[in-house]
Amino acid sequence: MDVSAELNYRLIRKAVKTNPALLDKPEAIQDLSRQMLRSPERYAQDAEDKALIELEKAVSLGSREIDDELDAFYEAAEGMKPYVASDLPRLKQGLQKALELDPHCYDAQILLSLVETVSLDHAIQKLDNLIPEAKEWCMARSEAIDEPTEDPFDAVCLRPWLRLEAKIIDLLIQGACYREALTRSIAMLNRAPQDAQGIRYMTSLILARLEDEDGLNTLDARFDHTGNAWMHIARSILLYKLGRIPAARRATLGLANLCPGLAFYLVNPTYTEPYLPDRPYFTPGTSQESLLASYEAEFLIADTPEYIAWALSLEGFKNAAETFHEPS
Amino acid sequence: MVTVIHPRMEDYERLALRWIDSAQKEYRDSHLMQALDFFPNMYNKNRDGIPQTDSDRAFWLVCQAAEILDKSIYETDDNAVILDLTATATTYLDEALQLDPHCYDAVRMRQILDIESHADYIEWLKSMSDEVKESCESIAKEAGMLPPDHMMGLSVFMRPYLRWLLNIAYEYYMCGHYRLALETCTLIMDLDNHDCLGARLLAAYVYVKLEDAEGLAGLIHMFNHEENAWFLPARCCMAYKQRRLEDAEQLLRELAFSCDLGGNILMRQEEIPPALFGYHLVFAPGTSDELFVAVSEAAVILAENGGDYLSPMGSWIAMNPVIAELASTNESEGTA
Repeated sequence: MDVSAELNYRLIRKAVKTNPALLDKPEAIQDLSRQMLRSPERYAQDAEDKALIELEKAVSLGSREIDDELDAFYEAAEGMKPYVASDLPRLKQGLQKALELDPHCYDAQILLSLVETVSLDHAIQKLDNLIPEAKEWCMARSEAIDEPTEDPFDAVCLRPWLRLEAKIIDLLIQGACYREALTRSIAMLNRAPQDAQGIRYMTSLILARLEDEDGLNTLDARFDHTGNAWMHIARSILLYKLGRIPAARRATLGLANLCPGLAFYLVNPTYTEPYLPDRPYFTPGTSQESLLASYEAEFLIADTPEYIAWALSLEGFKNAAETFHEPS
Repeated sequence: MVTVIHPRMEDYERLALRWIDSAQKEYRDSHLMQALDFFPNMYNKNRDGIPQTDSDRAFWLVCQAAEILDKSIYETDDNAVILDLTATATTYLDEALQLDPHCYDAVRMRQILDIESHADYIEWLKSMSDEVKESCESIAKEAGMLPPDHMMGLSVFMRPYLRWLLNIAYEYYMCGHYRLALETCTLIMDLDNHDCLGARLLAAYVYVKLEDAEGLAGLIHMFNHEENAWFLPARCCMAYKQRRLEDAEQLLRELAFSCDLGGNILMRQEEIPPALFGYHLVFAPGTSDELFVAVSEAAVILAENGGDYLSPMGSWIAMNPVIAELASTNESEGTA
């Protein structure tokens, strides 16, 4: 989620709703959009929009706070000192501020639930209980502000609800409840077929984990076999798990050739910034995509302990891993 | 109730067959019955004096190696002692192979001691599988002990082959090849409907990894809802994965109270390597040892997504208030 871009979109939608004549003036809209991006505070009149401004600040603070936490953790380990985890007070404060402005800021609610949670089950339960309210609220706001759209993700006011559903899927995957995650993922793909959120990426990894080749083929066909790093990983590991070694070999060499840096990142798990609030945008076909995919596939690699050693026995994969230079 | 074949039990069975064979040649009728009555006493007092082949002597060495590698080694913390014991067990296996190169339990266990790559080990097991089968069949035929169809476990001479397959199955399970593990377990259960080696116990966990609730239910039904320490945790973990947390909680309580140290075992979730002889470490049925072995074998489920820690499911189990309280009672009663 790009909070400022989403706020911008919402403000433009509201401006157009107030002044429909704007629709015939794309240059005016562009101009307005630029001004809104420069000074959102000027244009955010409603509490829900002000809340998004606070959310953006909170996310930014939160990223730095988590970095500080990690530094403290490693320093303590090196110095053999005790480490006391903070409960990320600056992030919490920022999120609470957003919620004071708008209790229906579901993106803030999601993050706050995760920061305050005592267990994964607790977080899943809490967010699951939030769905009916979030859906109802978002639909009402969408009716007031958005134009009707075919794909619900194109209606900006529906996105918080859709992100809530997606976050629960992420948590189910973390909890190794893959079939439940898969059922919900397919439901999401049916609900929002253009899949702007990229639900299909983790779905392919889940299908590999459940060794469901038919499911993976169906998913691949659904998106016209347009490859991506997640699908390459899923295909390679699935075939390896099923013992179909010649096919796995081909898939793995394909992965190494077609996804810049993917072989390297699979062999060398690399630090990735925590997703706040969710997977960052990436340019398809770049090593950035490979980094994110390899990070998200860690659970699958860990589940298949001999896979990396086997992949490294393939010369093409080994070369790709050894010759890749990370972008600076 | 599930029982695991103790290597000595199998040795007893082998020698009993030899004894009957030799007694039949020497004695007749009531004298034969008397001669057979001598056997248990003879086995206990002078096992080495019983007529036996090199193959039987080799198997006896395997038993002794198994007692070290699957039992004695866990009774000490002293690394020097462990190294010493391992060296002794290795010598036993080498001697067994000198006596009988077709002692496939020795072949397999000796190979395990030198594993460098599980993937290579699986390939080796598979490559030898047909040879092991043919050899076992030939020996069984010679002894007049070819088993009826689907009852392979009845013949003591076929069990090394079944153990070979079980080894393949659990290597698949531990390396994340679940459908292949299930196929192998299914093959074992088809070859031996009584499933004397307990492939069904491993299969239950594989169904959990594949989150195949129907498969698990079918398996449990096939074995008449047998009470054992694997089916209950399998159902519990399946319920958790399906987010039926109340059902999972109920099953967890049942499991916790199923034996004296249930709380302790479920809280600690210790993992130790599987038995080299027949995968399942030997335990007295219905005791805490059975649950300990079952929970240890469930590590592939309980450690999932945990990194260096317990998985979310493992944590859910360990932090359950009933488990915590029961574990503390176990500790204070000094039964831990």
